[in-house]
Amino acid sequence: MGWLRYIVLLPLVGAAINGIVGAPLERRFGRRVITVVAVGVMLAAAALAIAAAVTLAARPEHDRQIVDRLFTMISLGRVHVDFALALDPLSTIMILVITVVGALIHAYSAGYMADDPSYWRYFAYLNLFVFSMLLLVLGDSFLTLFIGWEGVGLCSYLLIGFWYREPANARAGMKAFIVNRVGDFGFLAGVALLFWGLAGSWSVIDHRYYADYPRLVPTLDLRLVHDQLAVAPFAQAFAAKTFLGAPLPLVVALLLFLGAAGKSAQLPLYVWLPDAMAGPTPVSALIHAATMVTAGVYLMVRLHFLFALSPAAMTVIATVGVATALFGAIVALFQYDLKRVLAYSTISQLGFMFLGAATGAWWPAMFHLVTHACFKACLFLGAGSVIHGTHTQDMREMGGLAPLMPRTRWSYLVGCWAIAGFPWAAGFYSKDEILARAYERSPLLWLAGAVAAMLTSFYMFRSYYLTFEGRAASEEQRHAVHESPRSMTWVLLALAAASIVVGPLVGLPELWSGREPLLARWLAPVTAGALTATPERRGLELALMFASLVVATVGWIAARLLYKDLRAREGALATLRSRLGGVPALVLDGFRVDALYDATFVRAFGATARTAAWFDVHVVDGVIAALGALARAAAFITAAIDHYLVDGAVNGVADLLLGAGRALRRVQTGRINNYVLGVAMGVVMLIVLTSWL
Amino acid sequence: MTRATSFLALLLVFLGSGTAAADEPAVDVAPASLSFDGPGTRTLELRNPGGAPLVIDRVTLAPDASGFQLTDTGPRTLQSGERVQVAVQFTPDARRQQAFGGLQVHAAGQVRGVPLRAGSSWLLTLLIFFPLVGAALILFVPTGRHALTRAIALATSLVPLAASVLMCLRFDRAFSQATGNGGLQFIQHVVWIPSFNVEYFVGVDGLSVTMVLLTALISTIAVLASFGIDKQVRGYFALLLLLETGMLGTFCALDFFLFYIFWELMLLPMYFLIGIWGGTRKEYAAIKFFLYTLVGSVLILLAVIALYYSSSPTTLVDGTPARHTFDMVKLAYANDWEGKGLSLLGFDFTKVVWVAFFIGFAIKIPMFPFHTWLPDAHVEAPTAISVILAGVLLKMGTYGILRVNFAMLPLATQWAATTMAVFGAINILYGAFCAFGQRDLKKLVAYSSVSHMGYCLVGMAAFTRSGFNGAMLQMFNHGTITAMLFLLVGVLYDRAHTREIDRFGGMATQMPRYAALFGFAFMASLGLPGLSGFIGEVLVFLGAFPVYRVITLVAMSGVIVTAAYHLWALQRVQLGRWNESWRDRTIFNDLTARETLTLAPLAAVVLVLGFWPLPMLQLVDNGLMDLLRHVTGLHGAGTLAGLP
Amino acid sequence: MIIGLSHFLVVSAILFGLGLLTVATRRNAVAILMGVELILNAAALNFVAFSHYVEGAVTGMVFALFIIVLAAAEAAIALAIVLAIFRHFHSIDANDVSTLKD
Repeated sequence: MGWLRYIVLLPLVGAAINGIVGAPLERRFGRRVITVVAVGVMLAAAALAIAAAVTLAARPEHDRQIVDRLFTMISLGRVHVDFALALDPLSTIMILVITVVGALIHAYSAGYMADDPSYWRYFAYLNLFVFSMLLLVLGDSFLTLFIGWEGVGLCSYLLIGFWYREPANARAGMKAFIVNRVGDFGFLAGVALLFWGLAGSWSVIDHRYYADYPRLVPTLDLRLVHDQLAVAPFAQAFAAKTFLGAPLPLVVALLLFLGAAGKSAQLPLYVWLPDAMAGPTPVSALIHAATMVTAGVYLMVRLHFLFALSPAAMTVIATVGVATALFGAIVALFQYDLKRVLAYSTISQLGFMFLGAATGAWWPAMFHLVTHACFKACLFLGAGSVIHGTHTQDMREMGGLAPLMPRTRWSYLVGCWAIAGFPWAAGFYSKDEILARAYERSPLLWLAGAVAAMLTSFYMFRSYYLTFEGRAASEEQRHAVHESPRSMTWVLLALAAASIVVGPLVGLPELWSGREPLLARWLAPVTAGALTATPERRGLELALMFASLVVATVGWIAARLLYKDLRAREGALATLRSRLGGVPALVLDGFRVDALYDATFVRAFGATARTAAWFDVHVVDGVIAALGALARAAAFITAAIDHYLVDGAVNGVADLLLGAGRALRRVQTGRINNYVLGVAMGVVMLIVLTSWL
Repeated sequence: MTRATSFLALLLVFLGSGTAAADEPAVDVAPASLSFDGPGTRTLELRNPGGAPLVIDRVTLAPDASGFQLTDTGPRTLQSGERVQVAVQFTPDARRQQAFGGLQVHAAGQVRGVPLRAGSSWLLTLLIFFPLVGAALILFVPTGRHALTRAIALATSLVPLAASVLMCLRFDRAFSQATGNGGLQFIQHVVWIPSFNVEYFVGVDGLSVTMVLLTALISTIAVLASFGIDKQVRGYFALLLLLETGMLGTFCALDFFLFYIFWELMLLPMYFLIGIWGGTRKEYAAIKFFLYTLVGSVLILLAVIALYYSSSPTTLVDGTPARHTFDMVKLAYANDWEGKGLSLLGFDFTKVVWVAFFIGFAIKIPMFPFHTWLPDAHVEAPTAISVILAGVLLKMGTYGILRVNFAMLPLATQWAATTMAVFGAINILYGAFCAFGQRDLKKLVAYSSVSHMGYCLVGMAAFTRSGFNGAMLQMFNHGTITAMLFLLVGVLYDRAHTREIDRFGGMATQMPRYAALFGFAFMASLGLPGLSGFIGEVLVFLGAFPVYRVITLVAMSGVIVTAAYHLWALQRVQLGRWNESWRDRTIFNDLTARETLTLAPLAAVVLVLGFWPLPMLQLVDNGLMDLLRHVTGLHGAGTLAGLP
Repeated sequence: MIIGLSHFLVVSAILFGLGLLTVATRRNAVAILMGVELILNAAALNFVAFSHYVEGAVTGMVFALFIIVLAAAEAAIALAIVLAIFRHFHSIDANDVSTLKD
């Protein structure tokens, strides 16, 4: 299947064109060309993705896999890493979401960013993002996956800091990158541990498994890892290994989850996502709601066989997931910034997905991923439309927008409906499915999830009422505000429609339709063996479904009571606020986790760096300087010795000779007569001496 | 330098004292040597020059002269003036086209050696010495003709680049020690100073082939980046080209004496290039660099002498028997140092020599705690010299460790491996934290080199295929990436005349193309997957993890710190608001065409190798595998399969 | 009275003594030269005398001849030097030319 690569390469081509020659193109032909290139490649990629999905669906279930090898990256003995793309049912879902939602958001962006001076740069980044994201989900090995993984992180960094002249935006981008890097450390360490664990395990295989031998090589290939772990003794040997006293599968799973948590903004690494709202709103919709942040969930589902090896890790992840769901929902309660509400909501919803994945509900997790992509993109783009119209993000400065922005309002309402989990909209099916699975695992998990769902319903409708209902903040605003252009609103309506349609389409519960949901059947080849069988408990399932409905309604009614008409409820809210004391402020600040991190990690980091730099100059180099000084002192001493002793001795001898010479020179008169006399006397003396002695 | 030369002189005296002057030859040989271009037979004529009859005991091939066959070796007596012919046949293997060996004529108690050569290659000699020719040529350029000087320098540096690209293309990737010639290719091997057993021996294998390419590439870039120099232009470029010869020679030399000469040859131009064309504290930096490196050189020299005098008797390449040898291949593979049971200063001989070599090379890397010359040298050196310093010279350290420590003293290397890995991890983290604490952008980049070279140490210490390949790849990739970083810092310095990070801000607005390349290089340096810096790191991690789990985990956490200091610097320089302390924005014009030309090829290399490192790995893998087998003592393929 | 070897030797000793006295006492360079000539002749006389009284020996004669030639050459050079000294110092007093000692 040679054309799989074009799904990935098309956005790259778009990014390259706009990124390299975007500026001259824009100057020469205007912005339309930029738009055509950027949206065009996305439409083409989406068409190809749909074609790929159809091709895959046409195949028999056991053969639903398309691999496209581009070239070999690394070949070292038995370690062989191809740059290959693989399409299976799981990645099909992902590429459909990425390309379809991506194309819609690209189209929306054309209107939203129309007046931005860096138009071409925006679309280059956005296309690059789609390329990286597609690489992430299609990558056949850990290496290609990680290239995509970091590529989306880079694009996220670039797009959060898109308006980089504002230092706060640039800082937010940096924060996102560095926090993600902590996760990447986990990812890398997990992969290295896995590599080590698998590479070493094959030696336990005896000749009976010789047929499997060629496959049992040290590998980074995702499918090969899957196949290897399917060989029972191999998996046992792997599971029996320990690292620092802990079982290897647990350590690997937790480290990989650390990576996933960084990317998917789970506790304790979620801190970057609220700040990431500094980027343009369509970016928040695409990257920080629909696609990139779900990469962690995708990773977990992709490696479900690995996570399934360690029930302890699954418990930890489920707990973290539900805690994040609750935490995000609580913090979202008191936010006034429309985008921050949605950001915390995303954190919370991602927590639901992890809860699902960690309870073995692989397909519901993916289901929620898909529905969330639709309704959260719809909500974000709706928020973007509002911000585009009002030029503010503070909900206290909005209100009464419903008649002014009808299309935005209706789509936003549909989005709220979907996320709150009311029937017939997407969130209802997916969230219920997850909560039902959680209940099977532990009612406690379900309870926490249900509370989070109630809070979700509350804060979403709160945001809706604050923004669209009630009275306008000011009279001038009422006149200034206008509905966004059609190029933007049709996207909203399309996504709103998707938020309703997608749920029943792919995940109508078995309870209602009498047959397994489409998505579950679709994903069955991928998650086969790891799928926990659904027990036949119609009554319980109905009860849970009803409970969800109640929970959502409670949240909605509470929001309606309090925020339907803010001006009228001012007094009640004020008393409520005073009762709560400092709590709302604390929650508004996200429990001051940022401050805590600043005070601990960031400070410690800076202090370490300063200490290291100081240490280097004063201690390490100081030792060298001291050695140098020592050498110079030694040189001084030897110089003194040289001068006074060695030279002294030499000079002393010279002085002696000079003195003797001076004394003797008197003898040398220069008169020949004296010399001759001397000679004569000498001769006489010699004669006398020889005669007498 | 004087001290170094005097050491050399001393060495010569030492060596000279041990060898007797050659006697009058007992037998005349014509021609004096036999060269083969391919398979074939050549004849050699022996003549008795004396008056008395001469008994030729036998004519044999020297023990290591493989590929040659000799007919008729029986004893015979030659009357005065009588001649006899000896036929030598050469049959090349399919792969091994080169052969070097000697014919030994045993007569009158003497052994007369006759060199036999097949397929001797001039490529490396041309590559090494062409810059020297250019340097000489530049000295004849009339004063003031700067453009001509620059053109000559550029043209001269392009020749080794072309030659090294050709070499890489023609390099047989399947060639290994099993194939012959010690796994070396493009060999030229002749006796140079017979009385000291010194040979002119150059060749490349997996260890050096990419380094030669890197050197030629970086040197060309450095010449291009030096076009802005207008102080004593001729001297500058002559020294730069001399430096290139030194660097290329060091990577190609396989005779220890020759290696040491090239090693010292690098030092002199570097000293002057920093000391004359440097910044405000250039004298301090130059002398610090010089003394540091000299300490290392002295240790290396002493270790070389120790090895030389302990080496087993062998023959020179022309077949003449020699009591000792400087041949690095023979020192590595024909001497069982550990088996000799020698001791030095009361310690195990191999360990003492190993440590001496290691410290000598570690100073070059530079390894903590011997690294403090690096920031000073970098800050003061002109841009192009920093590029060479970080891009090539640092690799001499790791290359030397592989070529000398690993190959010659495998057991001592195993003894010290864990220590090396620990120092590597320290380098990574310590360098990264130090970089974070810098205010000078160039110092930051300098410390990032300290950090990145740590990966090489960790990878080398692991003794695994991935680790070795990762270290080698990291050496090449760090060379290209750090060269980009220094060029970028230079661009900024040329405009602002300061490198204080806090003086900048919002540069991206003013210099968008610059900012794009700056971001690209910083991302490559922080190890972004898809760019070449990552591949080396990940291979090192994968290779080192099975061996040193905790150390590697600690080293891995360096990726966080690395990201942090890179991004922080990137943000403070490029992003945010324009720093209003600059009244005149117009001094910050975007990259010129020449500056782009220096950066673009490096960026292309970084990008291509990031996705497709295979060609690089194929070049080095066989050489590294030979080394790995040797250093681990594991020769069976079955055992090796376990090493990822 | 038979003239024997001792007579020659006495004459020679007297000559030598006179020569030495001349060299030692005279300050005129030419006079010193003449004294030197006397000493040389004394030596030559000795050689000839011994040669005469030893059977079959001619070596002494040869030496005498050499001394005569040498004396001639020496006189030529010495006179040239004296001349040069005179030109330079306008004196041939040997004490006046003792400038080398300083």
